[in-house]
Amino acid sequence: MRTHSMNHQQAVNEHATERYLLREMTAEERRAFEEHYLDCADCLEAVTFGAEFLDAGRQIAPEMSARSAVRVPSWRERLLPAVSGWFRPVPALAFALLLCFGGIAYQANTIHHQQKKIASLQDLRPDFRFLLTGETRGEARIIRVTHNAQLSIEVEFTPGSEYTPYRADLLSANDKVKYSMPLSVAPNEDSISFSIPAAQLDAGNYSVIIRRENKAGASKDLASKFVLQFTD
Amino acid sequence: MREPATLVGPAKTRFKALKARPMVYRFPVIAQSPNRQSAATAAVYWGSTATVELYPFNQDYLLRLRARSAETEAHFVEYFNTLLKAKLRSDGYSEAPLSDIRQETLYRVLKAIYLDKIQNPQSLRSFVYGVCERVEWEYDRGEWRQGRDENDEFPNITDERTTADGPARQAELLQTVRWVLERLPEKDRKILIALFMDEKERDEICREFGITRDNLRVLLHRALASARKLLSKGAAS
Repeated sequence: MRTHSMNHQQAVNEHATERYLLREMTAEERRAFEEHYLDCADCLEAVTFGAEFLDAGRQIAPEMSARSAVRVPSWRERLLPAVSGWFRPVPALAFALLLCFGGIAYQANTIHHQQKKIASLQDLRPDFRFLLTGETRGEARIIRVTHNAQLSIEVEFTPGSEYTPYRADLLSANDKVKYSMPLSVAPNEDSISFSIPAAQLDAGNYSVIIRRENKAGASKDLASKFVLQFTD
Repeated sequence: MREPATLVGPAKTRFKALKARPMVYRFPVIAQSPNRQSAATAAVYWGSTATVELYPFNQDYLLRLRARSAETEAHFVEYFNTLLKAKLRSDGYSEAPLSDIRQETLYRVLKAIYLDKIQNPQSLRSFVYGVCERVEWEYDRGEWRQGRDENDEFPNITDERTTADGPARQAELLQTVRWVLERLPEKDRKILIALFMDEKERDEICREFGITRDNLRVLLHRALASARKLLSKGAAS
C-alpha cells in the first residue's frame, strides 16, 4: 500500500538517492521513492548508477584497504607530525625555554667576553714606544712589554722626495703577514709609527717591512727586526 | 541498455559489428549527450549504458517476450537484474539472498507474462517491484516457495552481464571507483572503503570516524558526482 508520494524536487532536496543507497529511509519513504524513480529517468539512472558504484567499490575495497594499510607516507606526511608536535603547548613552551637558555648562555660566554675585551681596550694602559732604525742587519732589537701594554713602534727611514704611498707589514718569524696597513709619508718626515695592543701578538721574532708603492708596482723594502718578550 | 524493435541479426554478426566500433564506453549523462538516442527511438543493443534508463515498455515488447524472443528476454533480464539489485541492496540483502530473490522475482514475472497476466506494459517496472516485495516478504518470513516448474522453459537468469561490452564497462567502472578513491583525502577514502566493505553498520562507521550521517551522505554524493564526471569525460578509459 503506497500512501506517500514523492516528486523529483523533493527527491533532490532530500538527497533521496544517497539515503536510499545508504539504507537510511523508512519503509514508507523507500516505497515512495521507488514509486517515483520507476517513472523518473534522472532518479532511475542515479539509483542504478549509485548501486553499481557501490558494487564496484565492494569489489575493490579489500585491495584498496590493503594498499592504504601498507602505503608508505610521503616525506611531507612524515615531517608534518614531527614538526606539528613542536607547536603544541607543552613542547612549544619547552622549546621556547630552551631557546631562551641558549641565548642567555651565548650572552654570558661570547658577548660578555667580547664586551669585556672592548672595555679593556678602552681603558688607560701603559704605552711603550720603540724606535727601529732602518734596516737591521745585526741582532734584532729585544722589546719587553707587559700583556696589557700598548706597543708603539716607530720606524726610522728616509722617504722619497715626493708624496708616495707606503705600506707597513708586520711579519711573524715564519714571514707570515700578521698586520698590514697603508701609510702616507710626507717628503720631510723621517719616520713612520704605528701602535698595536701587545696582547695581540705572541712572544717571538717579528719583522717590520716598509714598502713604497709606486706606479710601476715596484717597491723598495726597508726592514727592521725585533724580538718581542713579555715581562708578565 | 536498449532493446531493439526488431532483431538485428545473429549474435555473431552483431559481435563483429561491435568489434568494428571503438570500444569507448561511457555511462550516460541524462539528456546531455547529443549522440545519445532517446529510449523511445532506440533500436540498438549496443547503447553504451550500464545504468538503467526509463525504457518505454509497450505491448510489442510483451508480445516478443511471450514469443520467447531471445533478444528481448536477454534485455528483460539484464534490465531488471540491475534494477532489482539496486532495490535489494537498498533493502539490506546480502549477496546470496539477493541473488535468490532476484531470480525468483524474474521467474515469477516472466511466468505472469507468458500467461498473459500483464495488461498494462507501462507499469511493468512497478509490477516487477511488487512481485519482488512479495518474494522478499515470503523470504523474510521463511515462507519461501520457489514456484519453478521443471517443465517450464525460462531464459537463463544469471547475474552475469549478457552484453559483450559488459566486462569492458565493468572494468571501466572499477577503474573509475579506484580513481575516485585515490584522489580522496585519506580519511574520506577510509570511510568509503568501510562503507563498501559493508561489514559495519553505518552508525558504527560514523562513530569510528567522528562524522555524522549527513557527512556520510555528502561524501557518497561527492564520490558519485566525481565518478559520473570522470565517466562522462571518458577519462577512465
